[in-house]
Amino acid sequence: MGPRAELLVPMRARLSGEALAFALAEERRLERLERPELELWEELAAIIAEQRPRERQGFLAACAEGLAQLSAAPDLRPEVHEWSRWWTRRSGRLGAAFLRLCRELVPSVSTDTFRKTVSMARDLEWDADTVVEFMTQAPGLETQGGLALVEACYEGTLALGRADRRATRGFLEAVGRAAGSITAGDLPGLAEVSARTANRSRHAAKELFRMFPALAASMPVNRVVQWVEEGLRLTSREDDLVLYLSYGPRRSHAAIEVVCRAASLSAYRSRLALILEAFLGRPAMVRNMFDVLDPASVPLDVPAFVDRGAIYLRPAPACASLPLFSFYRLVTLHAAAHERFTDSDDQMTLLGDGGDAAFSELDRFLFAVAEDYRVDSALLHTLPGLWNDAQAAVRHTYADYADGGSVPLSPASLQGHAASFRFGVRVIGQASAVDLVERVLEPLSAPSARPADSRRAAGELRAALGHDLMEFFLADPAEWMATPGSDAPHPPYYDYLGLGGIHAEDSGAAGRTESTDRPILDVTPDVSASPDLVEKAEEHDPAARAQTAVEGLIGLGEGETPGDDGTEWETYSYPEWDVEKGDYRADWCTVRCRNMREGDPTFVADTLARYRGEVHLIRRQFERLRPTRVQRFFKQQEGDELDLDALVDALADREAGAPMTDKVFVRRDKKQRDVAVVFLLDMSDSTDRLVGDGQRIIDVEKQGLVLLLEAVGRIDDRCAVMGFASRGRHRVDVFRIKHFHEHFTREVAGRISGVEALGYTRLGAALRHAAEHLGGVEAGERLLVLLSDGRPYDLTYGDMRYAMEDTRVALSEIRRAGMKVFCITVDPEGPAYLEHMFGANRYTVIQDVTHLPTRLPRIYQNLTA
Amino acid sequence: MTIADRRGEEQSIEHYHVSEEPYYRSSGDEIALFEQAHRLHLPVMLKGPTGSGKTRFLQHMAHRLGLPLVTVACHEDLTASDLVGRYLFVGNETQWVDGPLTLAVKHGAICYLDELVEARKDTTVVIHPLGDDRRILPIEKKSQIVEAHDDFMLVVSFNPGYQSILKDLKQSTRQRFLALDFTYPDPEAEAEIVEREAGVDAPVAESLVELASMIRNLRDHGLEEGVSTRLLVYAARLISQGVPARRAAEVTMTRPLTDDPEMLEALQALVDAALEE
Repeated sequence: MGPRAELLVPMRARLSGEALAFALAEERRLERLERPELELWEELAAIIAEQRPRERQGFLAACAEGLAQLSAAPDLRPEVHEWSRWWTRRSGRLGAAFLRLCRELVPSVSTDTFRKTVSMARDLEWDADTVVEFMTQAPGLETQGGLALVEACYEGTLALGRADRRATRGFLEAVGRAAGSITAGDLPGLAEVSARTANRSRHAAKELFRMFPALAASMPVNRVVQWVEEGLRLTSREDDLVLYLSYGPRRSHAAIEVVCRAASLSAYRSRLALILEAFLGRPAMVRNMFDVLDPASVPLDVPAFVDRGAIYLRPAPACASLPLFSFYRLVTLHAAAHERFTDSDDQMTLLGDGGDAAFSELDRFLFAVAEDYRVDSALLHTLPGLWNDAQAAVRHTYADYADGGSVPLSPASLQGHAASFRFGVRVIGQASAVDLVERVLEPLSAPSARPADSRRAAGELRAALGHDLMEFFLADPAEWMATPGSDAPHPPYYDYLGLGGIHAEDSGAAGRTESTDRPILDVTPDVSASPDLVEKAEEHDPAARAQTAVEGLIGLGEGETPGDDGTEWETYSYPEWDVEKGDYRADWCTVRCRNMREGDPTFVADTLARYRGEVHLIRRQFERLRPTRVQRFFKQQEGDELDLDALVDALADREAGAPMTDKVFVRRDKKQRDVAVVFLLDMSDSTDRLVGDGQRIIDVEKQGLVLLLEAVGRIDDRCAVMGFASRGRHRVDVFRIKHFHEHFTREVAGRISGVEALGYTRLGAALRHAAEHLGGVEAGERLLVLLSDGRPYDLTYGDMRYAMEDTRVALSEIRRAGMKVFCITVDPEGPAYLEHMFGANRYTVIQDVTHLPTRLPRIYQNLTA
Repeated sequence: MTIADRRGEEQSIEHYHVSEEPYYRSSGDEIALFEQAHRLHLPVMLKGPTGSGKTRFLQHMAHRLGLPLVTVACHEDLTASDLVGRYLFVGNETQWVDGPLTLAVKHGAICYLDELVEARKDTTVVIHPLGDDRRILPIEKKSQIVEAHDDFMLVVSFNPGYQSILKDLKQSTRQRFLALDFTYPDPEAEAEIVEREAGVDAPVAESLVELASMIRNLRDHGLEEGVSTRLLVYAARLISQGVPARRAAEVTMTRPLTDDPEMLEALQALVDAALEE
């Protein structure tokens, strides 16, 4: 029992509940209080006993500790007593925060500072959380920056509070945690961007406050503020800003490129692909490089690279002097120019002498400079309309050099110089070695220049400048390649393009990930399935026997089929063409056929809603295609009115003594469109791939079917839809999605949405089955349309040649039976093999899969017009 | 020629002579083959995309052989009488008027049925007896059979580029002709044609040809057909008259090809890249 027992014991008798428990357990703390404080403590304990549990939490302890400090500052005692009661009556939390403030500040600061701090806290009373946070952070701020910092923080909080009250607490906390690395002068700016951020998005403000302490510790606060300002400028959507902030200054530029600029690129992608295809004369994809690479791994000065025929573009920021699309066009064409103006004979030059070590990073760089020069010359010679764009791009890229006097030699300045010389733009101040560079590069502008000339030029450059440039290549490339925020020059608009793939792979500068190409088939033996597939007839045919054995191994039994709903399969047998034997294999394939399981029919409604505008247009187009209600047939034997032209002819014939026709009437009648069509949908696994806009090919195909059926319904063409997928020759599954006689009913809609990717593509058997079905329909024109995404492929479907030849033979059978066949593919490489299988003009390639839904009805319209 | 003219007199074959030599730049052996076909009485089918020079070739050949050229643009309402001829009333009399085909058969002209595939199938068969070694034209209404003049030659054109399954020539029609393929000329030849036809400088012609070959690369991938040499010549003519190059190319080489907005934008971007302002 301590010295104040005489006070505590009777007090305990008056206490109850939490206060009593505290008094018993924490006697020691109470013992340190002077009498007036002890009385105050009791009084305050009584006040908070009335309050909600949340408010009471930790109050008694804070109270005891805060009051304990008053003995050291007797002149503060009256006002602290008064304030304690005031705050505590408002809420226990505020009271506790105030008393904690007392504990921290009273012993260490002047009474004046304390009074000012408390009065600032009182000014913030509009938000309890803010006050609590202010009182919590004030002592730390005071320690680091004195009263000035506390006041600056207070002003900042007030300013921010005017913008968004809810953000102030986070701000205070962030500032408090960063107290050691922040000065009073930083706060107005910080409060300003915080307010703007909070105005834009609470989440973004939260993210900023979360990041701030660590950032402030690693860089000057004004840089952080600049970075936030940039983020505010660069982003427009809330999510983008949050993302930007969450990446921090080092990676946020890359991040923002991904999110913001990707949108701009994707808007242009298909147009760029058309331009590219026009320029190169081959289908070529244009992709966002960040779809396959981590943004942080690509040096900023690589605006594009070429890999396996596709061009990967970096989404670019807007550039004041050049429309974004023009910039993309320039970059794309420059990259493509490397392909177009480099013959295959030149490939060896490009690759170096077998990639030996002597062809160093420096050589590679100088060669790239020379090659860019040569290729750009050829490009401008071919497309002179690009001059203005190129000049604008160079001016923009090297704007930083423009006002400089002499620019020291560096890889970037060398590139800049080469580019400005090439495009006749004097943007670079006097760089060293100017004359040499111009003299060496100039001959490369001749249309006849080849990569070998570039290599020679690179050699000359190396001999003259290699020594000075070498140091850049010994250093970490990241240091001289422009990095965001560094003072290095902007990324040159062109670099390394022709060597893009090679460079990126060899140097490891770009951490390449495998692009998502055709999935590699993973054939796993399924031991559980061991169907008896050996047919008597095959026992005499060793090849067939071997194949049957293989089939047994890889498992072709009845397995889980996603489309399974328990209905019975109908089975059919079809032959297959064996190109090696030059003969059919009779009854080689088993086609199993049944209705597609129904999925969620809302898919159809969603699709129709999504393409509402297009649906409207397509409907109108197809209605126009529908034979006009009253078609007039001239020169008929009977009809409602006379055909005057025919009558005049007939009378003239009679007068002349020639036999007179009786076909002189006009009949009004409905003209019949007599078309029956089967759409055969490739449902193989490869349709599971994602395309540009994050949808799977199969989804896009389904959407296409919806629009198509909607359209075809307008003109009463008889139309059936089937999907197929296979897994070996005895499991060629054909799913009926729509019968000829059905309208576009709810069941049909359900079946369309039930379509899922499964299995492979045994095209021959599927085509034969579809043709069999179509052949059973009486119609003037019978048309079979295949919707495909790639080559035929199946287990035990032989090599590529076997599969293609079987398909080709199947197609000629179908044509002989008087049906027309047409293929619509989304495989850009389609022409390479479709020409052979289907023949010229009997297929079409849809370059951008996402256009399939709207293109499909038009193709159908053209086909049957 | 007006109806009144036709009523007043038998149509004169003289109207169909090609008086001035049309410019034609050969890109192979088609001239020699055509001359042989004429000599051997073989009908000829000119295959190729629109604006690739089929008609111009034929005008050139007509002039070269000194034959009249009777051209019929086929359409789906074209009847057999439209080709063969019909009786017309003249005053109280009736008068037989030869159709263009009969005219050509009688007078030894080249009869050119342009876009034969567009004609109705019952019309197409009229040419069958003319298209083999019989070389006769039965005129039912007059119960007459006209034997073809020694110089008569049947030529049809056919554009295989149409992707309509339903529009194709029957084999029985196709197999009466020898077929000459027309494609767009190679770049040097095409530039020469453009230069000569429109009177523009070589660099302009070359730029236009480069642009055209890029646009043609887009065939099958959004464009039904590439830009024709004819359109190139139009563009060049506009340019030679002072229309800005990009605008000239836009109205001749992009807008006529497609209505698809995205494709149009891509084409315009190509135009801007290929031609200076």
